[in-house]
Amino acid sequence: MSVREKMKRQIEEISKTLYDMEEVIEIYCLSKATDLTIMLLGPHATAKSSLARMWSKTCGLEYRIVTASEVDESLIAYIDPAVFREKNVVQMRRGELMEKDHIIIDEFFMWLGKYRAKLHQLLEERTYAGLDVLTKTWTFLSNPFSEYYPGQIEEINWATIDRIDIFVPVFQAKILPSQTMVRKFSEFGRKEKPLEQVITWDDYLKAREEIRKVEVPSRINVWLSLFAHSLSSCKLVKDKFSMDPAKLRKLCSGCNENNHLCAKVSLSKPRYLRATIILAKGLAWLDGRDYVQFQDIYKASKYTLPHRIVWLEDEKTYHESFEEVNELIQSFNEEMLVWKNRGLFNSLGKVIKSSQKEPPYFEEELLASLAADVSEIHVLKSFVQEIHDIARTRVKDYYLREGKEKKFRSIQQIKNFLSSSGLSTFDVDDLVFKIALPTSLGIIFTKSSDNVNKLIDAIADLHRHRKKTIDPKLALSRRFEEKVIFESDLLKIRENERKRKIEIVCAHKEIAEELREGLK
Amino acid sequence: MTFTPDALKTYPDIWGDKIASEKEEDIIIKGIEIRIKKYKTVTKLSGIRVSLDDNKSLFFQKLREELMQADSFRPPEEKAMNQYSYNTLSEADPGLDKAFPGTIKGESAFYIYNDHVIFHEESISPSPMERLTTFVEYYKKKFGIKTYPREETFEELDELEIL
Repeated sequence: MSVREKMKRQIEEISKTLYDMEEVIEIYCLSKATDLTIMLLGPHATAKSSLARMWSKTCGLEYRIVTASEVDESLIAYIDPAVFREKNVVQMRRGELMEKDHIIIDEFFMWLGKYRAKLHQLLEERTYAGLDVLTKTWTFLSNPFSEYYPGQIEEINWATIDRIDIFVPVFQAKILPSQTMVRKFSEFGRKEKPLEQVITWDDYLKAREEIRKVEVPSRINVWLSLFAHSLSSCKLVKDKFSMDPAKLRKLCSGCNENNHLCAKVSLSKPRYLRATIILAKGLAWLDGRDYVQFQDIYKASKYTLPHRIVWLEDEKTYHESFEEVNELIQSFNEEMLVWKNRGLFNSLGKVIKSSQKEPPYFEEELLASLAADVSEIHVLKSFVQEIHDIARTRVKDYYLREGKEKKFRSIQQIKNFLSSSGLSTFDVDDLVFKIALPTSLGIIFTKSSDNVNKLIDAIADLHRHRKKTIDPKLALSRRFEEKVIFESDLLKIRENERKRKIEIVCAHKEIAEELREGLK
Repeated sequence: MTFTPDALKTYPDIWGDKIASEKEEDIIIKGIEIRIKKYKTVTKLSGIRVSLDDNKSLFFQKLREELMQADSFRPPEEKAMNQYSYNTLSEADPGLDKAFPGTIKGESAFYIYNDHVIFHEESISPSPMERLTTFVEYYKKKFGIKTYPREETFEELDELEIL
C-alpha cells in the first residue's frame, strides 16, 4: 500500500468516529505530512482534542495534552537537580513539551504570553535552553473568542499568530451525521470506538519527501506572488505593519487606488506564502497529482490566510475572515482578468521571452508603454519595474560577456555589436566602456587635479592634431571641476566616482596610443 | 393558457413598455457567467434583462428557488402578471435593502417580469450594469456560490516566472 493510500485510510478511519469532519481531518493529516503547525479553532464539543488524539493513535505516536493550568517552566526544560546537587553543575534537561512525540497544546489562548513566546521558540528554532527539540509534531487547540469562553487572552501580537501556519475552524456536525453519532454513543457509550494504527510516523516522513517533489507550475507561482503582494503592499508606505490601521485608513481615503485589495486588508506575506504553497502541494499530492493547480492554492488559502489578515475598513473576527477569503480571491481574479484582457501579461511575457532568447533583446519601448499602462495599479507597476530591471540586467550581462570575448578594433564595432540589443543609449554607452576599457581602446587612471590638467592638455592636443574642434581648455577645466565627462568623435570620457578613477575609451587603437603618449 | 398572435404582439416585453431592439451578450460578473440582453424600448429607454430560461447555471437555479420561497409574499396581481416586484422580494428578504440602499430613497433596483430579471434605466438610479453587478454580488454571497477561473485562464502567467 502506498503512503498516500495509507493516509487516505487513516482519514477514513478517523472519519468513522468523527462525523462530518472529512475536510478538517484531511487538512489535519496533511499539516502533519507537510510539517506545518496547525490550530484547530472551534467551540467546545467539536472534537478538536479527539481529532488530535485519534490522529496520534492511528499513527502510533505518543501524545501529551497540555492545558494552560498545568503549564510551567519545568514542562519545557529544567535544571537536573541530581546533577546540580552532586556536581554543582547546571545540567538542563528536556521537559515533556520538548520530548513527547506529539504535543497537543490545549486552550492555547489561555496560555500566558511568556509561555506562548517559549512555545514559538520551540516551533521555529526547534531548540531551547541549548537542547534540541525531540517532539515530532505539535497541535494547537482553542475555543473562539467569545464571552462563553472567559479567561482567554486574545493574541494581539500578529507575529505570534503568523507563526501558526494553518488555522482550521471546526464546527459541530449537521443533522444526518449527528444521527450516526447517536448510534455510536448508543453502541460504545462514553468510550471512544477503538481505532487501529494504519500508518506510521516513518510513512509521514516518506509522504513529506513525496510532497516535496510535487511541482509548482509558473502560473501558480506568479499568481500567488501577485495575490500576496496585492494584500500586503501599499503604494504610499513601505510596510503596512509599521503604521496603525487608523492612519492607514486615512491614507487610503485619499489614495486613487483605494478600490484595490490593498485598501481592504494588510498581510505579512512570507509565512502566508510558505504555508500556502506547502499545503497546496500536500493537497495536490493527496489528490494523486504531481503538480499544483489553482484549486489547491484556493483551498490552502482558506486555512493559511484568514488568521493573517488585518481588515482595514472594519474589524472582522477570524470566522468572518474565513468566510471572506473566497471573496478576496474572487476580487483579485477579477482584477487579474481585466489585466489579462488588456494584454498586460502577454506583453510582459514577450519582454521576458525576448530577454531570454539568443541573442537577447531588451524590449525598451514595450516596457515603456506597459509602464504607462499600469501607472495607476501599483502592484503591476512594481511587477513591470522588477521585470524591466531583471530583463535589462540579463541583456546587459549577455552583451558584456559576449563583448569581452570578441576582439573589437574600434568603438564603432562595439556599437554595431550592441545595436541589436534594444538597450537604451545610456546602457549602450555603459557597455561600450565596460567592453572597451580592458582592451587597447581603453585607458584608466586615478583622478587627481594634476591628472585632470594633464588630461585637458592631452585631449586638446589630440583634437588639434586631428583637426577637430572642441571647447577651449578653460571651459573644459571648469566643467571637469564638477565632473569629468566628455564626448567627441575621437573619444568618450567618464568618471567612476566610487573608485575615483577616470575612464577613457577611444574610437580606435591609434587614438588611444596617441592619448596615452600625451598623458605621460 | 394560450395567446393569439395579436395578444403576444401587444404584450409588453418589460413591465409597461415594449422593446424596440435587443442585443445578446455573454458576460462574466464575479465569476458568474450570464447571458444578458441589452435592450432599447420604443420609448427610447434602455436597460438589461436576464432570461431565467437562457441562464441555467447553479446561480440561476438557486435564484429560482429563492423566487419560489418569495412566492407566499407575492400579491395576487403580481402573480397574475407573472411578476415579482422589488418590494415583494425585499419583503421576503430584508437583506436586499442593504445591497440596494438607494431604493429607500426611491431609486430602482430590479424586478422579475415574464421570467426575466429586469434592470431598467432610471435617471436617479445607478446604471443597469452597476445594479446587475450588485445583484450578482448579493445573491452569489447569499447562495454561498464559489467561483474560480478555469485552470487555463491564467496560462499566460507561465511565461512570467523569472528566477
